[in-house]
Amino acid sequence: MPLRLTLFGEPLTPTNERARCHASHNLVSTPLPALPCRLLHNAPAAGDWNMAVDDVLLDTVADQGLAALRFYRWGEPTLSLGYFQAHTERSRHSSSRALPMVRRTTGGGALVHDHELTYALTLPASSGHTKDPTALTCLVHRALSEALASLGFPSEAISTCAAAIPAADQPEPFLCFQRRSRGDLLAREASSKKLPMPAAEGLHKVCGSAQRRRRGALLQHGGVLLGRSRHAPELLGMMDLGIEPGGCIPDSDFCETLAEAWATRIAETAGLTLAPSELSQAEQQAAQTLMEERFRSTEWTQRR
Amino acid sequence: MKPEELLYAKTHEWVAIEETDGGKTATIGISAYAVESLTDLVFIELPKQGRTVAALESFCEVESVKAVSDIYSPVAGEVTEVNTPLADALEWLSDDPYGAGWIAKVKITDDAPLAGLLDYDAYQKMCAEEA
Repeated sequence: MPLRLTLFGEPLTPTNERARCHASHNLVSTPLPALPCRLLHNAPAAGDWNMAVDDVLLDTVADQGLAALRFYRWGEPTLSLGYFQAHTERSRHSSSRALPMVRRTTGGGALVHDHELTYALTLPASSGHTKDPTALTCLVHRALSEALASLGFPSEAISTCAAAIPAADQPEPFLCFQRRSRGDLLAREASSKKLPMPAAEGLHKVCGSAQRRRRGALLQHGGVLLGRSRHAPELLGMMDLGIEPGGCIPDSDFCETLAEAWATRIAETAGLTLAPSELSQAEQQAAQTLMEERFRSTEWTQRR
Repeated sequence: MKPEELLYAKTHEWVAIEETDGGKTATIGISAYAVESLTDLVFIELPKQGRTVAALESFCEVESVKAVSDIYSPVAGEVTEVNTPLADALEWLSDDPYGAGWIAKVKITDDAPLAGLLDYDAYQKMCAEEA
């Protein structure tokens, strides 16, 4: 059944324009055999639960080959640290200091999860997408740019980052969205918009992803920065740049619509056959245990 | 070490076995194929000396630009030596994966997992199938 997209009652016309994705990445160009993939839309939850569920889904795909695409939000504004970041680094970022903190199993910098739509994609080695991490990141981000275009965002304002900034020998910023890696999704602010936080060349990072590999399988998760958070006021989201369709605000309905459009395009590009799903009872129990024993524990959060 | 003379795990670690004091010690690293697919390594957390590991247990982690990957011990035993300078010289993993890029030595306590390792030809075949 075709997806009908509406925003505030107005039908939207999907555009076929693709956002630029720099050609240095070897994107999948030939169709792969369709891979069954579970599609989960989860209610907003605490950070330690969200990270536990992503980790359980990685175990599921590593052990059983069951791929999953999950969309979720956060029950309260939360700071997540990259796996190798020192917890003491959070003192560098005063505006998020009061937030609950969770350590991810994936790399990269810290995120303030607030006005955000988050996704997690788990794939088995047999999918053919786990060999080139950057290509998979670019694939998912390009699917997002197409989904945004279908919702009325101008496709010419959205692009992917061609090269990492800063260079490898320079210290990286604490926040993920202040870093630049190849494949990051960037949005250009409207020239007419007077922004409180202008970015270099008018390009703001609006989606970044990180990965964890386990026994040949892969978890990739990341967030779309929809709106500015008071806990990270230096970052602007999709809805702050003056490029959003009129009246568009990052509410639950919008997140649901965006997730549907994004999932459809990920499936098309990655060769996935999506089927609505929920966590099994065993997965819920495993996530509960992981949440209590790992992601909620000080030993884990402060392990570095 | 010559890659042709090593054994390999399906998770892309290499193993060199030597007889020591009536027992066996495994020197462990990751293959050139694995290093290439990990790309742009920025950090490694090495195993701790004295740690006991089970076969196929994660005992080391590497971070590339944004991906964290586990490295598994292909053998069971005790970590007796760690290549600590590697943490500050990650280029050794790509420049000399079978020499200076070794990760740790494990005194083997159970020979059984060795039977599951691949020889060079079998490992090359597996990599060709994955590519």
